[in-house]
This record gives sequence, C-alpha cells and structure tokens, in this order.
Amino acid sequence: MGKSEKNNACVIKFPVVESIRLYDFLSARGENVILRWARDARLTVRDRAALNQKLDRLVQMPFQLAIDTKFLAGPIHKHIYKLVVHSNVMLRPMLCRGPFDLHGEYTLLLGAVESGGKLPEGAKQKAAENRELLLADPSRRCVHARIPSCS
Amino acid sequence: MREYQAALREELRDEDYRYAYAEDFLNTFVAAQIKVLREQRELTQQDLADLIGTKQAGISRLENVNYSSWKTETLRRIARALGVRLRITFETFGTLLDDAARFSRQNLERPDFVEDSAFQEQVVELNPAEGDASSNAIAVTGSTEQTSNNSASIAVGYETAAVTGHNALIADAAGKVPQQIQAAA
Repeated sequence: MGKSEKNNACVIKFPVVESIRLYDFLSARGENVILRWARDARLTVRDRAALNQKLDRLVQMPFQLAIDTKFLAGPIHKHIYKLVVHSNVMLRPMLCRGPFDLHGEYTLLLGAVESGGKLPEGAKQKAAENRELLLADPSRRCVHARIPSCS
Repeated sequence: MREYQAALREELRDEDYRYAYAEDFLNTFVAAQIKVLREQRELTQQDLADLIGTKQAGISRLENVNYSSWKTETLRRIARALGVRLRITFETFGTLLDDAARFSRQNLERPDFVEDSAFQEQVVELNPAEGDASSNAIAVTGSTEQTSNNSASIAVGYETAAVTGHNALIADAAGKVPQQIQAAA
C-alpha cells in the first residue's frame, strides 16, 4: 500500500450539495423589493427566522420535493409560485423558477402576507408583471440578500 | 457555503431567532425525510398509511413541511415501516450550522436494514496476486460511522441501525477500523 493509499484508509464523506441560485427582483429605481417588503412588513424575529430558514432550504432541495412537501404552492398564476411560511403571520413571498435557467435558479418577485387564506388583491398579477419586466431586462435582479434583523 | 454558514452563525446568536430557525428546520427535515424515504422504497402514501395503520391523508399531513404536531409514536411506527430507526437527540446549535449546510435530498436518504452496509459481510482477499496460499487470508469488513458528540436543539431523524452520525469513517481494505470507533462501538 502506497503512502497516499494509507492516507486514504480513513475517508470522511461530505456529499457535495449543489445549490440552486436565488435572486431578488429590483424595482425601476434599483431597490431590492424583497428587502423593502421585509422592512415595511415589520417582520418579527420569529418571522425572519422562519423566512430565512425556508429560503435556505429552498435552494437545497429539488423543485418537485419542494412542491410535494408544500414548501412551494403553485403555480398560482402565470409561472408564479408562493413560498409557504407559517409564522406569526402567513408570509407568502412570490417567486418564479428561472426565468433564465429554469432548473438552476429562482427569482423572488414580490413579498406578500396572506390573510384569511387570501393574498392581497392584485399581488399575483404584480408578481407576474415583475417577471415579465425581468425577462425584458435581465439586470432587474440581484443575488438574494438574507433578510436582516434591521429590515 | 462558508459565507452562508458565517451569516447563519451570526443570526443564531439571537436566542429567539435560533429557536425559531431550529424549530422550522426540524419541521422541514422530518417532513422531507419521510417523503424521501417513502419514495426511496417506492411506496405510495397509501402504502405507507396501510403499513402503519392510518389514512393516506395522515401521511400527506406528515409530509407537509409546515406541519409540526407529529407524535413520537407515529414517527416510531413510520421508522419500523421504512426499515430504519428513529433517533431523537438534544443538540447544540453548533450542529445546526452543519445540518443546515448539508441538507439535501441525498443526505436524507437511508437504506433499509437489508441494504444497511453495517450488516452486510464482505469477504476481501488479501494479497491475491502473490499466489501464496498462506498469504491468501480473508478478512470480513464493514463500515461504521463516527458519532458527532458535539451536540441544544432537538433533532429528530431516521437512521439506519448502524448509523449514528453524518461523517462516515470507512474501514480500510483490511477491515481495520480506527481505534476511537472501535471503542465507541
């Protein structure tokens, strides 16, 4: 047995976890609409933890598993899905797969809070509109920023 | 990945945040693992429901990441139906950093007892090229795993009978297992 083989006698396995990329939609003024929403919605610590946890796992699991385990619901409107976050309030940020790389990325398009099982009026349409804007102008998004405590 | 872990590490310094994050992670983990293990065994929700004496809707509920009212007894019955053991431990939050970073469908899968490598004896020929009868010794090998003891959130998961941690230590070709593992066993 050579030296390198001896060194390989004890192998610690760390399976490679391939992540899906996550992006946030930017307003016409270049403002991150998800961070803006999180700030305006005055999320509690618990809300923020639950939301970040869900987003952290979303990029680690296959799309179908996310759908089957009710992680994501949809499509609720043209290519739009909502992330299901149960916390003090029913957070439902809306997103789409891709839209440029269907299997390798998600883009968060609009933040929303569900009340009585219903999304705010026009929210689904607004999310779809943001997706169209992004398709027309790929610079209208940035790499997802974690929801900070001072949001 | 390191950036993600560093960010999460800072966030977890807030007590309310870390308990909320850990609770949500646990719910996600349990639901996703039941789903993954069931599919790994090519069982439908109805099949699994029949095996543990419940309704399909009950399995569907357990596979919902936002469900948190599962009972230990139900999880135990599911473990038996899936050929794995249920492990419940109290853990430090430090382990959450690794668990969160390593979450994936692949890492949720577990073989059932029949496929569990720890219970499959393999015959390995030593020095087969030398043709010397005296040197054609055989050794029985298996694999074992290291226990992660730096474990205080609650972790629930399904494991194979022999698996007690994530970091698998493979015995060498002669079936030698590191001393600390033998001691642990």
